[in-house]
Amino acid sequence: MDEILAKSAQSSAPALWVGAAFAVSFGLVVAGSLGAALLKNLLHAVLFLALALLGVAGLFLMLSSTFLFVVQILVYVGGVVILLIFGVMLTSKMAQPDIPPRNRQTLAAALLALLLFCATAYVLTTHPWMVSAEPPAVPVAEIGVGLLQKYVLPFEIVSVVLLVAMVGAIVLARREPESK
Amino acid sequence: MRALLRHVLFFLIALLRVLDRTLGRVLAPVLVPLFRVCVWALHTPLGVILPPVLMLMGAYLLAARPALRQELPDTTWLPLWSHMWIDILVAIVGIVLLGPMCMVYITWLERKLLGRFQNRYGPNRVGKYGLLQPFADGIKMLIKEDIVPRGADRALHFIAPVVIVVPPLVIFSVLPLGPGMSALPMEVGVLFFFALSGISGVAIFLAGWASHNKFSLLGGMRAVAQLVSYEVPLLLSVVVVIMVAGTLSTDKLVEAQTAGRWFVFTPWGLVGFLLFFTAGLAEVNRTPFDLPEAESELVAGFHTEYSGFKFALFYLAEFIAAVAIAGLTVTLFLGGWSLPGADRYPMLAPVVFLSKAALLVLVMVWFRGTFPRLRIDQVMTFSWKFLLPLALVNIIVAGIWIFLVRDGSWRSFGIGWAVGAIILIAFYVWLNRFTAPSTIEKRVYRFAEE
Amino acid sequence: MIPLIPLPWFLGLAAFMFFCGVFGALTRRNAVGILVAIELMLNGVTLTLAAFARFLPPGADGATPLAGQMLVVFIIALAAAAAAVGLAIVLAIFRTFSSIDSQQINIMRW
Repeated sequence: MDEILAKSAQSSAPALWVGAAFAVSFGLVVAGSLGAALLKNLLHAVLFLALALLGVAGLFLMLSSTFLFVVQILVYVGGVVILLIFGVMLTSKMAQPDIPPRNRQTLAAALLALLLFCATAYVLTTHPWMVSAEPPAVPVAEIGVGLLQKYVLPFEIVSVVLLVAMVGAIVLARREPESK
Repeated sequence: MRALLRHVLFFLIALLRVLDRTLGRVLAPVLVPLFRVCVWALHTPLGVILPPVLMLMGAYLLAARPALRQELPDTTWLPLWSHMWIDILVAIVGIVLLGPMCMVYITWLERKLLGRFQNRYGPNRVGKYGLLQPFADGIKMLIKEDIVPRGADRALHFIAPVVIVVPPLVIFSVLPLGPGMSALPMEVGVLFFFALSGISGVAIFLAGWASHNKFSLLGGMRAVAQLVSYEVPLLLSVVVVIMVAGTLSTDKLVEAQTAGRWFVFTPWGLVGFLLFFTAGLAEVNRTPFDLPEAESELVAGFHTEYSGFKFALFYLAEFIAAVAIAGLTVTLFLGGWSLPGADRYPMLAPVVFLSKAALLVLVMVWFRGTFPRLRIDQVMTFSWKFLLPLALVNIIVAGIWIFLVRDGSWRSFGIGWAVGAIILIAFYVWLNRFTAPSTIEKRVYRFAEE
Repeated sequence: MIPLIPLPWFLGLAAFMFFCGVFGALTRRNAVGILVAIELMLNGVTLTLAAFARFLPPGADGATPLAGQMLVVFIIALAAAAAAVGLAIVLAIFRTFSSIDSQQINIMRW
């Protein structure tokens, strides 16, 4: 993918291609997050979440980190979204009407979110970031070496956390054995 | 506002229905002769020759791409901006020709071979040896009625079969058909494959849910449980290859296996190959693991409520996925496009690659004709209690192999083989004590006996 | 290669995702819906980190592009763990109350 991107940078109209790709990812993220937050049908909300996650994966690709792109799809779309769909299916009854989607603090929450979004977006977009002239792309091999050398402690801690989470999830989700 | 929207929507739907009917009436005099011509054309030699030509054309479009990439920057008569689009278009057309055409032959092969396994003829009416049966089936599917059950989630019911075709087709883009000939030379090609197979799980789930049918839902649940369980041994069995070759790119993995140094000729590679192929069978729902669509229990599983072309899309996705997993197995363990003696001719590479993949698909068909379907608990036990531990030990063996065979001499090769084989066989025997039942108990028929 | 899309676009989009998640988490009554919103928030954060890792110059305090990507990888791993445990909790709640309406689950409230 990098090769194609580099090639496009050589040709005269790279901006069009990259712009179009960015627009697609942008649209996916915006539509997906709105849908995930607002839709009444929970399954549809989960699917819109999947769209937003795919959009983020596309953005990772534009940030020239193919590894993150693949991990994003692998873990989120292949793992978390499927988990969430399982959750929706196991906890809702097909025939019964669902719980009302929103609680009473909707208006306040909307105002709060909007206000905070405006403030954050203002700060983030107007701050004069010191953008480096030639941002380096990190090769996958370097990530692998980094995981096992410089970042080996966090790596091990994360693996322990995952193990604990796995055991915990099994214990929590398991049915209590019938008392005799 | 909502009411207005609803009225507009209803109006549009009504309009579409009227259009549909009138169009049907108007177009029928045109479509029926066209259909007849198609059927006639299928019976001529042209009909027999065209599909393989299309398939090879697809393969060679992909094969010609490296050369094209060399040439393109120097062609002045094309506008500069179009170079990239041409590059991308060639890849897409190649894949779209190759994937479905492979699928066409695979279906024919499968039905023919299964027929022979079961002592019958298999398709033999359309075309020579029934070669054109898949096309006839395709036309039949196209003109069938599309039924959406009442209470179904219409949007999802429509989207699921569309989504499910995408991942298997995209997988083709990371399969290297020859030296430097993968459509998308990705740094993380192998991981990309796993990411895509995760997406197809979501699509199956959607199909099962959207149909609003208990068989569909059960089939979808089973499919996803199976996919998630088998993804683990699938990934772990690939780790050995990545460890030894030191890369995630499919192109470089094959380059590491040229000159007959296929990974399958090592103890970890052999076990990895068997693990990967078995888990891959489960991943694409092929026969011993075809529980999601077990017809004796679930009618047709997640695609029970699909008819016409939507069903055809499921069928298509299933077979393309089978070809794709065979292709990936070939890439990872069986040397990809490389064959000692044929490596000098890069134009032979796609043929070598596709023949190897076809051999693996034949094995899949053979399995289908041989093995009975497993029970769901057996499927799960097999994955978690057998494949997973074996894959983990296999990784250890690969580590030992890297340590022992680092000088690359024949002597160290032999030592590595001996040590690896001993560890793996010992572990296999030990593992069998837990998974295999020690004695087969006499079956008690509670209700059938006097 | 000079990036064509400027940094603020990525940051603004990430903020949008995050606050969509905040809104969803505050207003959903269905517990699974809350989990969905939390995933959205986490993704907004990862996007910010990845963008910073790509755009900002390597700092003296070890803030390299590699560090940014590592952080994203760890967040993704932890988010997956959180989703699994969260879902297990939701299932346990569903079994106890036979509902996952977050407003009915209030026996801990005195």
